[in-house]
Amino acid sequence: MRRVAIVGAGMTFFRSMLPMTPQEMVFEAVRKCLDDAGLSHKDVQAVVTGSAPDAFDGYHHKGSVVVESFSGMGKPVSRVFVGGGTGVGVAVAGWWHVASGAFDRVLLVAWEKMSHPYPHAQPLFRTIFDPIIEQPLGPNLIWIFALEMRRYMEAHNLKKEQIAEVAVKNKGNALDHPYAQLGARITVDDVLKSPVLVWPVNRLDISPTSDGAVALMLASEEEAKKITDTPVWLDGVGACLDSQYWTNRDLAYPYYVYLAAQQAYKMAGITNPLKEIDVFEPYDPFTYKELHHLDALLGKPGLAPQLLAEGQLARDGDHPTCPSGGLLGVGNPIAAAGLMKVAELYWQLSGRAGRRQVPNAYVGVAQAWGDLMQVGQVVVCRS
Amino acid sequence: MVEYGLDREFGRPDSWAAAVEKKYTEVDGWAVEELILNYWRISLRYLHAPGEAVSRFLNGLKEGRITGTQCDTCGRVLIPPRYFCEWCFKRVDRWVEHPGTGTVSTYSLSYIGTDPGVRLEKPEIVAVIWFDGTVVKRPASKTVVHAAGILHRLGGVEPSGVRVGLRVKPVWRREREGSILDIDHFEPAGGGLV
Repeated sequence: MRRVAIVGAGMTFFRSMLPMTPQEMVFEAVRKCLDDAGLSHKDVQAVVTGSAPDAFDGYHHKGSVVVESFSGMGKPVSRVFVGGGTGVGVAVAGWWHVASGAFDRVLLVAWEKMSHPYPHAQPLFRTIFDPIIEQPLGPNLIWIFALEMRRYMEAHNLKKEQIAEVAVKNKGNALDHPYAQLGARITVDDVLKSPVLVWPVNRLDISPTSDGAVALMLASEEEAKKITDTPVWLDGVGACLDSQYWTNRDLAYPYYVYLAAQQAYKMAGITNPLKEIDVFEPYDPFTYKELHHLDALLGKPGLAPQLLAEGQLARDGDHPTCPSGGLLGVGNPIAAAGLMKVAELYWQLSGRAGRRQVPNAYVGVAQAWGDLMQVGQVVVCRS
Repeated sequence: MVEYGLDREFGRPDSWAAAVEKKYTEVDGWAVEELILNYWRISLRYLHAPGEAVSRFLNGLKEGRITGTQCDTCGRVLIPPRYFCEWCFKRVDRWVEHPGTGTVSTYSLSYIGTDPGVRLEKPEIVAVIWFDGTVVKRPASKTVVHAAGILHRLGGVEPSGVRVGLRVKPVWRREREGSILDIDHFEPAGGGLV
């Protein structure tokens, strides 16, 4: 397998961009990415795309509908879809393209336009439940997150106050992200006093729906050295799917994320993630999810809440987690949000993260999660 | 982006309240009412077949029985039932009946309806119920690796009285039609916590 590098990144604002088409958004991100890498659209040999269900847009084959926006004509184009895990899944699949030796320069693009469904995207999310044994109960999407959160709280004897710190930290971090949607200075009290939707999930425990696009450029080692002096190496990838029968599993620990992380660590030669990794970007669509996923990335159930309580997950702490602001702060245009985390590693590890820069960041891990609480997608990057 | 001001940094909220209460039609610089938008409605209907195993499960519910399959190789009880075991990857033919007693693995209190725009006066109690005697733990870590269990509602208990580990039993509807709703809800079975 060949070594793979990230040599450029670009993204749009994350927010409701109702007046724009997905094509316009994607073009914006891809143009910025190519400019960052100093490449022409003609240099792209293949494209890996990612976007959530077609139902969000109301038309089919939405992967190829935006082909002009990433100059995919006449090139192999594929689309990854594993629910919320899609964004990081795009980077994993992109790695396969380059590491295999099939392509030298591959463009990754992930986008989402959640402002299409009117008045809200929520009824579409609800279709993840089993149509025969779950839908008759009339669920809304938040049920499953609340159920998982409660199980997680039980396993480690956590209080809502402790978990709410994640929202405070991430929304605060997002104030320094130039593309963020919900950067804000809030307190634990704000989170606890925001409306309860499905206890234990309050309004401020949830990331906002959003529109946005992110693009990354991958290159083989030889090509990367021609393109940039500061490549960020994609040194490990891992992906794992767990059973669809979520009521048959223990939701306290995302074992599938642990397995995906172990694949990536093995590839990257990491044996002690807590010591060897400088920046963590776990998937945080909900407050508890950051801790839940970090537990699995560290391979130690219950460790993440302790680190959070000690302040070690802050951007200037020992184990900076979601220095970007995460989905809670930057926003959650589903597929784009995952790839934003990989872009954040690129910016952090190449010293381009501006006000968000974590000092001495050389190794980072990004992770996304999705489908019916069953997908783990992990990448490890190194500068 | 330029035309609608979406290329600029703008609208950074001063507080969470400003951020979450901002209406989606009031994004700075434009409003839904001022845009030329195409409104399109798609109406889709589906007929989902439950398949061999779940059909039998639903027929059991109609008779007031909870049934599942059991794998001869790993011994797991599978509820919701499937006709093959995904661990051993072989067909499963053995059917078992379960009294439906179990414990609450996890629960939540839904203050919003199926339509998230609807606020409920009294929260609906939702739970994952693990059926008695079906929980498989990994010996070393005591992690639960499998449990026969389903999603359902709880009743006959105050929201503040629900706990993880609460023992529950099904409450059946009188009129049954072969649906998961033939069980109206689960209620405390007595005997405290497990």
